[in-house]
Amino acid sequence: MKETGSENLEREISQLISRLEKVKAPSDFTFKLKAKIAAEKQKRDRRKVLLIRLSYALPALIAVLSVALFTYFLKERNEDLASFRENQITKESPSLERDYKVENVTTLNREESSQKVQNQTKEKVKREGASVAELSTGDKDSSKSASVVRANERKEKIAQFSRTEALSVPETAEFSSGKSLETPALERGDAKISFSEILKQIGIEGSFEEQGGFRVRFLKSNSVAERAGFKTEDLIVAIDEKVIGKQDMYFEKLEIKKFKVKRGAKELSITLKP
Amino acid sequence: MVGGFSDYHVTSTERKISSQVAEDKAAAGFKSLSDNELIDALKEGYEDAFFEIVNRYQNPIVNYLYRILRDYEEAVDLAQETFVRIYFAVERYRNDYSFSTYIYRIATNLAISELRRRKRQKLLSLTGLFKREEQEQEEFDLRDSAPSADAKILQKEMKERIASAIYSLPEKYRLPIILCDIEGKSYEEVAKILNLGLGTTKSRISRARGLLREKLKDYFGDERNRL
Repeated sequence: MKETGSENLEREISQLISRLEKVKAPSDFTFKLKAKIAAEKQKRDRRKVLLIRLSYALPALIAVLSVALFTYFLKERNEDLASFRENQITKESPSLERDYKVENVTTLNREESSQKVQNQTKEKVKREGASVAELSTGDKDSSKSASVVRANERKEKIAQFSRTEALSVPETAEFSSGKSLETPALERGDAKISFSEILKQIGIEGSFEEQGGFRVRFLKSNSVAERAGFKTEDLIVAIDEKVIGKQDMYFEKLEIKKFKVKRGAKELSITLKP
Repeated sequence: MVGGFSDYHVTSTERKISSQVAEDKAAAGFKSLSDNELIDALKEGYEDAFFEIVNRYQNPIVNYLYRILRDYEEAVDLAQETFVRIYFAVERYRNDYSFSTYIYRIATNLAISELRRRKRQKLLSLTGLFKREEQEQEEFDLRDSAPSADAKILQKEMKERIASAIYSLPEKYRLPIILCDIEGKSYEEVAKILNLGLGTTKSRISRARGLLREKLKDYFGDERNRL
């Protein structure tokens, strides 16, 4: 009975609710709906157009961006390379400067050493001359020849010593440090004119000697050298008071005037005549 | 889109043939076609078929949404949104279940979204709140202070009372009872629309009726005969 009672009540409620008046759509419902659909269509069309544009624009944008990035990185790379080169140059340049400095120092030292050598040799020659004079009283021929040989040997030793000293002057310009220096920049070919080239220009051809110096093998007739008094088989020991080693040397444009030449036992000083 | 067959562009021989068919259909009238046939016609591009569907469903959908939301403007807006969705998603519609279930499901989803939005943002308009309170107060006052009021006013008052009672029901009871008792859907249809089991639907409807009876017990015995 209870169940049927509740069922009846439910039915009554249901009937009560169903009797509620139905709300109707407004009269302009369809009109407004059409407008809404048209607006939505336009919106979707715009979206479609936008999508189409994007489908073209995006790859274009990506292409432009990639080109821009590529050029940017290229530029960066070039700048890096340029800065790297600059760095290299700046790294090299002080060494060059240093080399030139060293060269200057060495040339100065060479000048000093050559002067010293000259003084020493002069003194020794004098001394030996005196000893030769002393000896000439005795066995003249044998003693003279022996003393000349010794003097020559000494001279050569001194010359060698002076050459090695001159070449092995360190950066600090300590004359007698004894350390061997790398070939100076001028000798590496950084300068303009080589020693042999200078000689060629004045009409001398020949070769460097193992002991140092340049041996004149051929003289151009009527050349500056010939006029100055050079002769074949002369050994050029120094040029403008710079001792000539066993290798070619390089000079900046120098006005060469003085040559120190060994002719047999004699040592001559030849000045170029313009 | 506003037009019907006149706006249906013919681009090929096939289209010309189908336009002939469309004219025949138009001559026969869309009114005689079932919902699914109208949808098929819409898929073929006949927009008048769509507006026949609109004519058929606009009032039930507006009524359904109004009973859920108790806001006529909102109900009309959501009903239009329902039709817009159907129009643009017609290609996706399958005839697995009836069109009626399909349209009510869309409307229900929109209504639920709106209710959640209201709950979340507390966007119940102040006027609406005051109105409801005033109405409730008025209903109480009317009952107490109007013994001489005529039957029509009482009837209207009672309807308002029932509508308020329905609206005050929790969402899970309100939707099935509206569909069942106001829209006249069967339990099976309600179950499909709300995507619930049949047993759940029945129990929810029964529970909703019980809750309503509780809410209206003071008036039920006396007033129901006046409706």
